[in-house]
Amino acid sequence: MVRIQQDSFDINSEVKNIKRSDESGVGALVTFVGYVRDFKEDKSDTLTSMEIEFYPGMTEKALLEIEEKARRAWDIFDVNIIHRFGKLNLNDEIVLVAVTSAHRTDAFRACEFIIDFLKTDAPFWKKEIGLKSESWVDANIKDYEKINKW
Amino acid sequence: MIKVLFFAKLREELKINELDVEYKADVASIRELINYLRLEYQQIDNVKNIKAAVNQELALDWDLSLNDGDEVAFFPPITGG
Repeated sequence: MVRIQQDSFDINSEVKNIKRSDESGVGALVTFVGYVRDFKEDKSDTLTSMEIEFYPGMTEKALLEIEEKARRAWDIFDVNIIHRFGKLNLNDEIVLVAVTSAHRTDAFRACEFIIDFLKTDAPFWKKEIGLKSESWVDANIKDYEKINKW
Repeated sequence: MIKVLFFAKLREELKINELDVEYKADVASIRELINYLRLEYQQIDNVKNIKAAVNQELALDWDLSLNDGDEVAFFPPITGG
């Protein structure tokens, strides 16, 4: 399941949604949550918030394709991907990836695969807003190096 | 017509979200389209490593032929997550 939303999400209720109590085959649930952190390169400024933009239509499709690739590669049950857009404050959650599986290895691998590809293939753009200035975040070469390892 | 969309820094530099470009023989690939747009929007060159998507699929080959009615998006490298 893929959701792109402005509102915050509650991690506990999202975990309960994906791991329903009537599912007896689930042996593992792995979650990744990404937060807004202060990583402005200009150390004389302090990050206060972030603006996230996306491409309605394409972004949802890209996330579903990433989910499909993960399903083909690992034995997993449910996938929940939530990504927020709009204005987010420091320490707000940005993204959730939750994966269930019978075994932990498939859940761990699939969760990491999804967040790695989300960073390079799903059209989202971040703008950092500081006390003094604002700037669009540059793509991180390390994110692309990670992708090549899969 | 080709529907052209801009996102993030590119949208801000150009001060436009989207526009329609008439489909014609000399604007029939992504490369030709962006060169055509450059005539009016020189600020395109203020954004490095521009990416393109055709009909919401990332397009790596900029010589790919466009069709009348296509949706083409230009944007900076992705930075989500």
